[in-house]
Amino acid sequence: MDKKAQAGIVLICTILGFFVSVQVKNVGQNDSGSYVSAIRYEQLQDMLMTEKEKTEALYKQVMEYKDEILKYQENASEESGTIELLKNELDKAEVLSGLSEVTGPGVTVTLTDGDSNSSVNVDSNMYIIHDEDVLRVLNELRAAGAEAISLNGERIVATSEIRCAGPTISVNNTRTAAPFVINAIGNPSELESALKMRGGVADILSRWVKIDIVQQEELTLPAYKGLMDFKYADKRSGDSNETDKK
Amino acid sequence: MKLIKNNLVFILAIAGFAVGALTGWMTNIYVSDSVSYYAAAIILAVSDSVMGAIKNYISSTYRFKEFIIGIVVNIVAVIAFIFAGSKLGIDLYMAVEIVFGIKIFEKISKIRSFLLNKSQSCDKI
Repeated sequence: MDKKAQAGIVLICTILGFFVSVQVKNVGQNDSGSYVSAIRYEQLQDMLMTEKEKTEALYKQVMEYKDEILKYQENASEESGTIELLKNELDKAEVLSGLSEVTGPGVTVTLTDGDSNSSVNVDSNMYIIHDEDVLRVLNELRAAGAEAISLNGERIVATSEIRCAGPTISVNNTRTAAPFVINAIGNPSELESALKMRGGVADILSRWVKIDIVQQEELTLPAYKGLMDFKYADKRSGDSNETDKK
Repeated sequence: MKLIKNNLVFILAIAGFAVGALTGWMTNIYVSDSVSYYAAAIILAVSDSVMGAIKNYISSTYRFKEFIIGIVVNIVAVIAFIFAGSKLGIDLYMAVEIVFGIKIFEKISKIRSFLLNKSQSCDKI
């Protein structure tokens, strides 16, 4: 066996040893993160951020409730203070139920029927706005934190229906036709971005119908015009917690 | 003394491996994650070639040229294979690892049986 051949094996073994140790060292260094792919990492980060935001919001809520309790306690003896607080609560309830006119910043969403004339062989029904389309927009607005919503001048309240009624849509038992103008009070940029999200409501609807979203500095929403009398629902007297348990 | 002289190449190979490992450990070379797959597969390919060389050396069919060409071809093939895998979206480096793993074990078993037979024949004499 000649010397050259032996030297060859030895040299290759040396190089091999070098690379093995480099590789082992690197794998050891990267071990904590190397097997988590970049996409998964991003997802986890996103999840962490949303959870953090949620926690923060909940913490804020707790602090608000604590303040509220404190106020009630402070004003327990003072009659006038209690009345004012109750009035505030009533105002809040009125805004929530839609019994009072409200103003504030928000967005105006206009839904107009698309034109199906562009091509012949299409289902023209797709280019007409249906009650589902309006409902999807409303749902998205609510999810984005809209505090008050109206559709073609009809305030949307807890008992409002949005329902197909022939060529029109029935809202609060009043029929309205396209174009549908939805006013929503809330954080304008948040509402707009929620609708315009990629793959979101506006993205999908704009394939068939025209959807126009405009941020407004000040909107005035009308109060609910209908009657609020309850024939069947009766508020339970006594401790309200018990009703939930049943 | 004769034993050392006969097996000098193995001792030198192991010593070379140790020296290489030590220098590798001392130097700070960073290998990124994507390159790491290639490096691991190439290490396996070269290990296979070295095992093959040892086997051939013992059975005295070792040829230096064949050894070096084998290593180079193996490395090129491995790189091409893994690169193609990454372009096709298949983890072909796993195939490389399995194939070379099997080959290394085969060679180890051949070396073992060869050494065993040799020592047995020595005992008989």
